[in-house]
Amino acid sequence: MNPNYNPAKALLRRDFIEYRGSFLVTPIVIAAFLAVVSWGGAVFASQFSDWEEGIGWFVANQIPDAKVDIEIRSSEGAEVSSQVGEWVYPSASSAGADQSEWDFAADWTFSAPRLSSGFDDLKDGKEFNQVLNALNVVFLLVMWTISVNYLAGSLYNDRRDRSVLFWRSMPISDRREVFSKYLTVGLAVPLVYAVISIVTQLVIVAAGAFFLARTAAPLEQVSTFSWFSIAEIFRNTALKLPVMIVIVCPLYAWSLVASAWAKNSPVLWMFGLPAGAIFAERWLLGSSWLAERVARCLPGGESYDSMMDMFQATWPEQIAGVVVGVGLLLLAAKIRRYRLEL
Amino acid sequence: MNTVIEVSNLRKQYQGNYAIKSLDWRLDAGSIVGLIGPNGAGKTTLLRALLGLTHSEGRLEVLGKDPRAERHGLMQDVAFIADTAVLPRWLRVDQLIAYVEGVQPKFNRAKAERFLKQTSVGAKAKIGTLSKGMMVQLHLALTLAVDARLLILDEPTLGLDILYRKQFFDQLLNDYFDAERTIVISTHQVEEVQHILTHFVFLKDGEMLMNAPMAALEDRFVEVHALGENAALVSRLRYFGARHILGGQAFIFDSVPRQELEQYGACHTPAIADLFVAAMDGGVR
Repeated sequence: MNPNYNPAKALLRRDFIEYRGSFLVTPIVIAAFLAVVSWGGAVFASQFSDWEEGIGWFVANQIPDAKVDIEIRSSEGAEVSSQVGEWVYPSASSAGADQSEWDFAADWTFSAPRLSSGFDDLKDGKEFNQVLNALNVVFLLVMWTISVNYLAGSLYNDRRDRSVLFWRSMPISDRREVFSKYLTVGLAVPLVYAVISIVTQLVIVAAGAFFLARTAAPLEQVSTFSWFSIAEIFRNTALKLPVMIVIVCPLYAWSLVASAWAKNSPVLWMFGLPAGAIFAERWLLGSSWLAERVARCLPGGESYDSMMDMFQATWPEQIAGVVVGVGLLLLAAKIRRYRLEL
Repeated sequence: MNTVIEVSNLRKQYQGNYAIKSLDWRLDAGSIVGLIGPNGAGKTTLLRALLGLTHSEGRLEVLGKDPRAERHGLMQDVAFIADTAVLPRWLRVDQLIAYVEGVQPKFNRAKAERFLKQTSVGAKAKIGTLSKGMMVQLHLALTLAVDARLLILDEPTLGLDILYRKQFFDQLLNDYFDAERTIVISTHQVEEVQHILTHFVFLKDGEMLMNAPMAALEDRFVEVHALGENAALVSRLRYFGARHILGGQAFIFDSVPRQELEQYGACHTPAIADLFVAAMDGGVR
């Protein structure tokens, strides 16, 4: 046997080469963009009030009782003081809000936030966590879009370009092939996206901490802000991952059946058949049993808590969903067996 | 001798029509078989049935395994080249080699690289950018680097120029074939493979019209070039097939002693292509 024989790795690698743009390049580009914007906000906040309002407002609100004093010295020499959340444009004090103009030459400075009460109040500061969660949702939305594309094409594209004849001349069983495709999109891709999402969020937390440190906030306050945010990242991004992997199983498996089956337009089968069944059920029985189950398989941008609540309330059904998913994967392998060129 | 392929009463139906009708076939190791038939004769269907790529009925054993139940196990010992356009165009050559190495336990990377060195296929080239001829060279290099006992080729040289075709078949003979290996080739270019075949099979409408060793071509069949009046005389005999030649007709006879025919004109061993055309026309009349 040749020493590099490793079908699981070879199959996974094959898919990551074919879908390199979707699986790796896209999330990395998004991550890089977000990192640049957040660090831009933290570093150049004194030049561009726009960015400052972004990161500064959220960071400051993470510490609800902190009063960040902001001193704005406009180019005209006028001095304006304000508190977080009530930004005043540099020229607004003299000319009125309506005629305010952007003054990029203005020098924005920050004095140390003062904490009126202890760090316990941090728990109420949810604003920055919402930013982090929203970032994770961006990654999730992109991931679902590319997953739909992958699922539709994975057992269809090679039949269209006839390369199926090459792939199937290799000693790989139909089940192994189909299960490997499922693991790629159901496990490997979510892992990659979660890791990139977590790294991006950490970079943004670092930008927030840098911003706080710049305001000469006490070091323990910077560190509390950082740990509080990091804990939220791992809860809402990392812990959500296994739950998501379980709940999407039947839908992903169905999509592979559609991809293996379709003679043209697998997407139509993927969405059309479930949608048709949902309408038929509503029309004939007046119920929406299937629609509710399908909706539960769609991992939304909801928080970790609400996802866990849903999972705990419906866990027997979730287990049944995995069983159905495995059944559908076996069906996809059976269909794949004798489907060659279109 | 080891039996490589054993098929009995093999049938394959497509929407009520039989693409293969009750086929019986046995093939031993150390053979190179030419599967010859017109379009729609069932060549590709038969080859795909042998590879477990299509549903079929009847008894089917390849290297002692039923391909319908053990395709992936069987493919460790069987290599298959469909035709020129099936390699994934989005992979690079080195990535394709790494893939085959990962999934085929009998693949020998050094061997593949050695074969590729003799060609102009670069390791970093994207497969989609290769010419048809280079793609076949790459596919053949991958195939030869697997120590397969059976090689199935379905129109492997379709669309290639004569130089690539010649090189392809030369390499098959020199770098792959030996007494333990078996090659089954389906092709339209009968003349080009004739010299490497040990057996030939004629297929028509899903049926095997003829299955014989190449030696039978010489032993069983005679082609008489009957010129002038002799053509009319010979046409009254029970011949297998006939075609027009300059100044007369060439007749092919099956199992008629050569000396009986020599009085009508020069006798030759027929070319396989001419025998094929005669067989397709219905044979003995």
